[in-house]
This record gives sequence, structure tokens and C-alpha cells, in this order.
Amino acid sequence: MDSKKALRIIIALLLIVNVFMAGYIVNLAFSEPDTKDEYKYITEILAYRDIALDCEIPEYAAPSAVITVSSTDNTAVLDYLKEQDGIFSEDENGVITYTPPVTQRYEDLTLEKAAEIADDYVEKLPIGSEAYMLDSILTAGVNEYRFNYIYLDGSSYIYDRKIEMTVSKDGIEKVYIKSLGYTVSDTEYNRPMVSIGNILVSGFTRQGQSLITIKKIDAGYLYDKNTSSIMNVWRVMYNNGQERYFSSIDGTEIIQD
Amino acid sequence: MRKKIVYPLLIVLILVTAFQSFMLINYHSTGRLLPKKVITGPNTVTDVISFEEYLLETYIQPFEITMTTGEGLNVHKVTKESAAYYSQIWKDTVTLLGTISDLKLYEIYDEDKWNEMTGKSGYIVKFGYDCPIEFVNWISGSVNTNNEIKSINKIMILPTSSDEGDVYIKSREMVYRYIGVKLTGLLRQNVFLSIYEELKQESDITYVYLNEVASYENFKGNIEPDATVVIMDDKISIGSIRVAGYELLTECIFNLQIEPDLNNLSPVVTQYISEIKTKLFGVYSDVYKVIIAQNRDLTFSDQYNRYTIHSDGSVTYRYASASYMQEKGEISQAFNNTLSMLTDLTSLSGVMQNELILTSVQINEDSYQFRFSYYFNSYPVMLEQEKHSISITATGDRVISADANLFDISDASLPNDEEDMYDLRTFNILSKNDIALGSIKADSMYIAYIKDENTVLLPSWIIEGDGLTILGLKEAED
Repeated sequence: MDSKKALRIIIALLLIVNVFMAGYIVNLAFSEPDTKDEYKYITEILAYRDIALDCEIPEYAAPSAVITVSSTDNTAVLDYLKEQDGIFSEDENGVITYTPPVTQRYEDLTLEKAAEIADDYVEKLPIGSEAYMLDSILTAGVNEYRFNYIYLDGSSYIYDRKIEMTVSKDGIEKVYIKSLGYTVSDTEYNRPMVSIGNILVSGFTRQGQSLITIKKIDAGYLYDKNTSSIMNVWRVMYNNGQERYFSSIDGTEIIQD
Repeated sequence: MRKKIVYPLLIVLILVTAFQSFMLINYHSTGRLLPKKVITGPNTVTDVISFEEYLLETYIQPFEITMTTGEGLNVHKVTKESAAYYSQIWKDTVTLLGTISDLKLYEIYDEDKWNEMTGKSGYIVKFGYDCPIEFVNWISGSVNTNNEIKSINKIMILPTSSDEGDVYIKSREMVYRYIGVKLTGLLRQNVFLSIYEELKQESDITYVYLNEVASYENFKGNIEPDATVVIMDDKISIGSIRVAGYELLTECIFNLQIEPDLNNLSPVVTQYISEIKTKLFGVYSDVYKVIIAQNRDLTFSDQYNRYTIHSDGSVTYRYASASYMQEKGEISQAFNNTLSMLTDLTSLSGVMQNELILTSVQINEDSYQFRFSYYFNSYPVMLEQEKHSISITATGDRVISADANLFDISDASLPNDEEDMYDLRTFNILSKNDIALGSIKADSMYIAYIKDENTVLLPSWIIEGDGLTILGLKEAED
């Protein structure tokens, strides 16, 4: 066989393969559901199960980088708290609990004032405060608000780095500071991930008379005690403040204590 | 010439093949034809439970929610034990009140219309008092366009289609009808029907609206048509409860009563007084002087504020300055001030789980008065002489006065003990007490606990009209 003939055969084969693949791809592209239709469908399924969605379903993918646990260092925070009045302790998981002394009474405490008190406090903590974002506010009682701050690394939440505090008429009542040391070991941007749509449809069913409202969905990293590793997760928050985490790699729920 | 075409064509074909292969591999591994850049969403602050929502789940709740599908004598109460339904139906009703406040078209009827409609398939949500429209507007976040409605006592919601229904508002002697109102959440017809079926299966007690009773025409006018009675249930279990004053207050007052020398208080009493002051006033506790009266009432006073703990454990507060007389201000702000005082007073409890519900809102010339009652296991806990345990008068600026009977309430049923069974058949209860329906006035009838000198309380049947008629429940016969 001369080279010209071989070339012709190769070109012909490549043409056939390309036409076939192009047809297949076009078919796949048109059979893919429109995202908006998909979300509408998910919302309807959830509504049928008496689960209301009070937030947008994220259109972004969960972070796919791999991060690993490294040692946690609370020394700076503990040294700072030693200089303050009040009582503090650190448990075996490295969670610091701090009860400041009552120095002022806010008779007309508003949410805005309480948020200001909380922000001021977080700003002063020696833990890279600028990376901690106010995540949620919960009215815990009359003149009593609970603020949650979570660490944001670039565009991903580190759910185990957080500050939780209650502010009442007597100022800050209690502060919990949770830290987690970690390092980025791999950046796998094309790692297969489970979409939040799949998780919402498969992981949420009606439970008795409890009527669930989902207030927030986002993605980040969570330390899983069972595997002693940091998992890529989707977080779903309910209207009572309860949080559920699902692995964005395989969709399984990560049960925390 | 041919070579010039063939080789570039071959290169293009190889590249296209590679690209299409990549798309297909990517599709089968990630579900997408092309890789998507990982971009997480912006940080958003979520108001998980807002203050308004918190209020609708705690202090501001209806007295009663009843429902029937119109099937004769089957009325069920949505109780707080079905917490999720109770709370959500109430929130949906508040949303509905906001919706109808914008509607300009409505029909006006006299009281007979309420009688005519009671028993139709739907919900009746009762405030249990005439709730001023200013307060309703505030909780529903609306501005009322119907100037004729000054207050709302009851709301009847009759779902007519999947997401629409007729709404009747009972305002004093008038009934307002809104037709084809958009219903949301648990008020929608299909959800309403499924909840009814679920509660019907689970409810221990089946009620009947009094207007369904054959002889209702004889006492119409004196007894509200939606007052509920029990016809069949003669063996219903209702537990006993323990109602006692706050330990801190009662111990302090008890020790003060036996104190030999008021000028030289014992360390125990001093400790109690200090603890009460710290809980009430926080860092300002030193500002308040302690005054002990001849009758051993304990008073904390600064220039204008006067808190007194009486020998029976009740607490009163009086604002001594007349400066509040200027303006009563907004009802919402007055209620916020009231709640602030209420939480200060209830902080004296070591338990902090006692359920207090708003059971009266009154607009005075120069102030607002809010009253609260205790609830336990879905039943009100009331005083022998009056319905409300706590009464607070406030303006938009401050609280003017408070009168509070503060209780810690707990279950008194013994574990593994046989529960108390009661005969709830209303007509039997009435006849045993020589009461004829035709001779009484009743806005509502219900089961409640009445606080008397005893600490452990058993349930009673209450007829609420101009006053309270308390009828003890008889234990069921074996």
C-alpha cells in the first residue's frame, strides 16, 4: 500500500469517527437538562416532601482541592485571653470557651448594636480576624443574639475554623473559638464532584411532622472525625440553625457529634 | 497542491478528535462536557431566625387553632404538641393577615355570618382576645387598608381551591369576608386535608363546635358557635403538673420572714438579695437600694424604678416619674420594652423553660397593656381569680408598671405511673355541676390548670364568658 492511499484511509477513518463523536456530543448537549429547569424540579420535589427552600441553589461546584490536617496552634489566642478578665478553658478538641466579665449593660440592645459588639470582638482576636466572615445570626431570645463567624480561605469555607458567640443585654455572654490547622496538598480542579442538586433530591426526605426550611447552602471543607481527614463538603443549614454536611465527592452525609 | 491540503486536514482532524474525546471523557467523569471553573458563591449572612419569627414561635401565638373538614361532629385542635404544624399554621395565618390587609374588596356581615360559616371545612384561628389592629399590622408587617377593622378576635380560613380560599375576620360584632384570597403553606387545600387526616388519626380528643349541637338555637347569642365541647371521649389521659414560685424568690422571702433582726440581715438573706439584684440589674445592681417593709416585702429602688417582691412571691414594678405621660409611642416599641422587662423578671427562674404566651393586648389612653399566661402541655395555667399571670404596662419609651406571678412549671406525673384518666364529656360535666347551657354565657370552653394554694394541679374544664367558671374534671370510671 502506498503512503497516499494509507493517508486517505486514515483521513476517512478520522472523519467517520469525528462525525460519530460530534453527533453523540450534540445529542448529549441537547439532552442535558437546563439548570433552571433542574432547580425548579428540585424545588418542587422538596416542596412535595414539605421541605421549603428559602435560598438559592448554588450554581457553582464544590471546591475540589485536597487539604490535609496539620497541627493546630491556639497559643496566640490563649495568650490574648490570659490578658483579659473572664474565664476561659480549652477542651481536648482544641475548642476554646471564654466567658468575659460583665462590664456594661445595654438596655436598648438592637441587632445592629449586638452585631457591632460581636464584630469588634472578633476584630481584636489574634487569629487572622479579617478572614472570618459573619455567617449567620440567630435570635436566641429577647435581646439575645447568636453570631457565627466562619473562616474563608480564598473562596472556600473551613467549617472547623469558627467563632460562635452570644450577645445579650450584658454584652458578650460566651465565646467558642474552634481552630483547625491544615495544608493544601493537591489542587484537583477536574475532580468528579457530586452536585448539590443530587444531594438535595437524595438526602432530604420528610421526617414526621417536622417542617423543614432550608436557609442556606454552601460548600467548603469539614474535618471528619471518623476518617480523621478533611472532607470536601456541601453544607445545608435549616431554619433552626441545624447544619448538615454532605461529602461533595460521594454524596454521603457526614454525621458530626 | 494536494499535499498542502492533506496534511493540515490530517492535523485538524487529529486535534478535533482529541478535543471531542476530551469532552466525552469529561462528560463521563464529571457529568459536564466542558470542565467548569470552581467558583464558590459570595459570603452571605443568613438571618436564621429573625426576631419577628422568634416572637411568632414564642410569645405571640394564638389561643387556639381548630380545624374540621365539615364532616359533622369532627373538630380537631392543632395543639402545641404538633409543634411544627401549630407554629407553621400560625405563621401562614400571619402572612395571610398581611395579604388581606392590602385587599380593598370585602363584604361586611353581622355576627350571624360567623354562626353560619362555623363548621365549614377549614381552620379557625383564635387570638382569644380582641387584638388591636395596630398590633396585627406590626406582627404581619403590613398596613391595613380596611379602616373599619379596629381589632381581630378570630380568623376563619376556608380553602376553596388548591391555593385560594375565603377568609372571614371576626372583629367584635362584625364579620368581614375576603373572597378568593391567595393561601400559602399549610393553609392550602391539599395540605389542609392531609394535616386534618393526620391529626384525626393522632388526636386523643375529638371536639364539636357548639353550633353543630342540635339545641344550639336555644342558647345562640350567649354562647359562641365555635366554642368546642366534647361529646364522646370519656377516658382521656391528662397529666398533673407542679406549679411553684421561683425558688430564689420563695427561699429569699421565707428566710426574710423568719429573720429576727431586719437591721442586721443574716448572710443567707444577704446572699439571696445580692443574687436577685445581680440577675435583675446586672452591673447596675449597686445603684438599687434595698428596702424591707414592716410586712417583710422586699423592695429595690433607685430614683425612679421600684421593684417589690411581695411575701406571696409575686413581683411588682412601678416607674415613679410622671415623665412617661408625654406620649404612648409605637405599639411595637412598647411590646419590645415589655418583653425586655419580662425576660428580666423570668431570669430570676433557675429553670427558664416556662412557656409564656401573650393573652391580652389593650390600648389605653396613655399606654399599652400586655398580659401573659403560662402554658404547659398545650393547656393554659391560670390563676384562680384571673386568667393572666403577668401584666405589663408600657409606652414606646419604657415600662411603666408590671405585676407578675412568676412560676416554675413541671410535669408532676410520676414515671411508670398510671396516668390520670378523665371523663371529658362536656354535657356530663355540666349536669354534674347543675349548669344548663341556656343559663350561661360562654366565649369559649377549654381544659386548663388553675393555680390555687396547691402546688400539684389537676386539669379543670373552663367556661370563659364574662368571667371564668371552673369545673373540676371527674376521673373516668373503670
